[in-house]
Amino acid sequence: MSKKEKISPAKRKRLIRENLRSYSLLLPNLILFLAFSVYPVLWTFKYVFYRYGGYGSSVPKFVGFDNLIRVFGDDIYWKAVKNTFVYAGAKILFVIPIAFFLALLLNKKRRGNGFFQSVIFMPTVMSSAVMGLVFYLLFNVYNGQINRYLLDWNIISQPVNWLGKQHAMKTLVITAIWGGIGNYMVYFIAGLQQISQDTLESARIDGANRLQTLWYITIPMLGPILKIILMLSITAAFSDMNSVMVLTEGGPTNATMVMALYGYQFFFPISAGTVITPQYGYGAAVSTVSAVIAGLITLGYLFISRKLDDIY
Amino acid sequence: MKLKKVLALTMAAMLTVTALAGCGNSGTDSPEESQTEQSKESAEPEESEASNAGDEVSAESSGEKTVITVWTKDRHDAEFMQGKIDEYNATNTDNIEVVYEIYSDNYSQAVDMVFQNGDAPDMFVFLDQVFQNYYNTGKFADITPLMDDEFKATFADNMIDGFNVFDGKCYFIPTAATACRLFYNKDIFAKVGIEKAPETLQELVDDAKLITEQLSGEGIYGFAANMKSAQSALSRSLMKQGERELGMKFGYDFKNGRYDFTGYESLVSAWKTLMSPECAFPGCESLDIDPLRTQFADGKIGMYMSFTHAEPGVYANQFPMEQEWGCAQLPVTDGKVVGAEHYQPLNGYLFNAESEHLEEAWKVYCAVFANVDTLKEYYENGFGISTVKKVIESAQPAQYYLDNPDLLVCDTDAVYPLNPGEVNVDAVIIEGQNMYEAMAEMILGDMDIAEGLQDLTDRYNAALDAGIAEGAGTEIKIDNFDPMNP
Repeated sequence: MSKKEKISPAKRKRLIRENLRSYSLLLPNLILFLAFSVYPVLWTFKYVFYRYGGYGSSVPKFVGFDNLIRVFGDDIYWKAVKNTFVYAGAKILFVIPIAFFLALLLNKKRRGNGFFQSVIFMPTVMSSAVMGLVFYLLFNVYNGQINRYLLDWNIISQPVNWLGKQHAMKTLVITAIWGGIGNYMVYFIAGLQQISQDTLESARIDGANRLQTLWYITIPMLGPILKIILMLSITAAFSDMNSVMVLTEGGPTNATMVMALYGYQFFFPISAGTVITPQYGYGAAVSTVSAVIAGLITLGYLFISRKLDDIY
Repeated sequence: MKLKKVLALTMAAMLTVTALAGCGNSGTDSPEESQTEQSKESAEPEESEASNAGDEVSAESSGEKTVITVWTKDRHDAEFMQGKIDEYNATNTDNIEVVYEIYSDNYSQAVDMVFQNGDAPDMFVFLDQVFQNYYNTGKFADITPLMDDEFKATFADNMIDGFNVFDGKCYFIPTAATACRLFYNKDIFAKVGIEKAPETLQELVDDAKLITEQLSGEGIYGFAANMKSAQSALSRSLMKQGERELGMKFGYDFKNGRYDFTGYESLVSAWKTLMSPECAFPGCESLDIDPLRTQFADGKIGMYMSFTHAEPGVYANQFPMEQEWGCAQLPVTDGKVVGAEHYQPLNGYLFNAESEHLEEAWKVYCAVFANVDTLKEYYENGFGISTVKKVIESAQPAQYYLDNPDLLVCDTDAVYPLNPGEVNVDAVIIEGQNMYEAMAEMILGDMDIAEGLQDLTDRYNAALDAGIAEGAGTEIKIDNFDPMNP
């Protein structure tokens, strides 16, 4: 370790002044970050070790690791974990290629592209709760438009129960794909626009056809942004909850229960007409284990995807 | 240049999100909430005027009105109640201004919030979970000392020991009620030749089967339930049938002081058939109550179970129904009723024990919310089913109550005592699925009924024992418990 370089008093003064300015600019954000991100996480983590029925007359009781032990023996939670993987996997599997394909189509300078970009992006700015309601109207078995069209076109002979046990997860994935494409398409367009036209031009002069240009130039050069897009899509898919809540509430019989919703319902149980005590402690334990699972998946992905940074 | 475009696109997207989020917030406000906001605004200038005049000047000496804030969650009677409050605000001589605020689904969370930050309103409408969650904490004022003899005489029947009266202290007075009943479409019944509403479980199942068998080709089915939320569906149906059939409330047997779900087997089995394709409206497992009501109003559903205070208004205003509907008591096995149905008292108002204007709040309560003339008008207009003797005796009920007397609270309805989980929220903490979710699994065929009910019994009793051992719960055992007069 080399000794620190001696700083002159004038320089020190200037550095302090400069740093003060930086810190004063950072301070509001830092305070908000601590208040609305760090504190809730610490609060949640604290209650992992308590049994607590929420505000009111409930008295928090320290129970050590009981809540965590209960999580590991909770079959419904592990069913929710499995469902989350199915949901996230299916969503990412479809949403990324479709978004990429649309980005390729709409990246070119062509009349009307701006309009189509806006239309495809539109679902991203819609509330997922509203989206859930609209999809409920489209997919319900008794008068949904989807069944009506499929019957009219003779694709099916009987109405399909899209929100029943067999098909509810597929319906959720379709909703998620529809809602997510626009967002990732914009990221891909941003990435595509960073690729130098000179490089693409050179490839074409060297005789590469469109497919070869795409495979050998475009996709590799999208590596760094693809890494970010995939990471964002993984974290989003693992924490998706709103549309599930509106569309199926995790049912029927937990067939579409996902990790995030399972934790949420212990904090805010649906209890109209009856009393179902919230279980903040257990909800905190479920949420913490879910966060660890999502974190491990993200870390695993980051480890595997290191190469995406190295390409160009 | 390209980067700029990308940035511009991103910024535009973010701005749109922000703008839409803003729109969303205001859009979700119900008209009633907007009205409330206006009321709030009308109250605020006076406050600021007062503060300009100097904080030390008391409200009374400065002539400023005393603002009494009242929270409710009821929307169906909003226009009527707001009219009464406006009238009171315009005519009262006590210099009181009532601000009436309506919260909907987030009512209990809003109460949690204000109790945390010390900004609770002076009065707020009774809701089971709010009351049971806070009455141990001293947040609610005992209103007994505020009552005069006339008030006590008028509402004597509405003071129920163990429900709103504890150790001689009364916390609220329910003036209306709701019960659960079977609603059926009379036209559909006539079409398939059913002459009367089912009284037994077997008749219920047979009627549902018959309707589905004969009319499913026309898109008409025998039975429906809003099973998207098992709790919402079963708390208004199967659990209520359980009270009539078994004399138990939410599976709790007051005679033995234990939970026992095993007696629900015949009910759950019947429900399994009712939810099968033989009887059920398609898609019941993902059906919400309002879509169910739209289909009932459209003549597609033969029968379903729900609350009496809500449905008549729904088919008169929200989803006008052309066909004729009827209402009957909930069917039970062999028609043998061994227990009363626990009816839900409504329209009680809790008083904030920390309110600086408790006496003024009481004046408002007596003048508006407990005013016999107002309650009479409320009942006659069909906003709720009155439980106040003086009102019932003198009122001319809305026509649909006369056409369907089963809508009203009757001799086979009563209020059960609180079970241990209701007395103390920490007393019965269930691990695993609660009774509604577990029963939904049995009904939808994912769990064996006998095993599932035994498992529920074991888990609820284990939770009860744990609560008692920890001192949070107490055993509630009533030796001479009569479920017909609980």
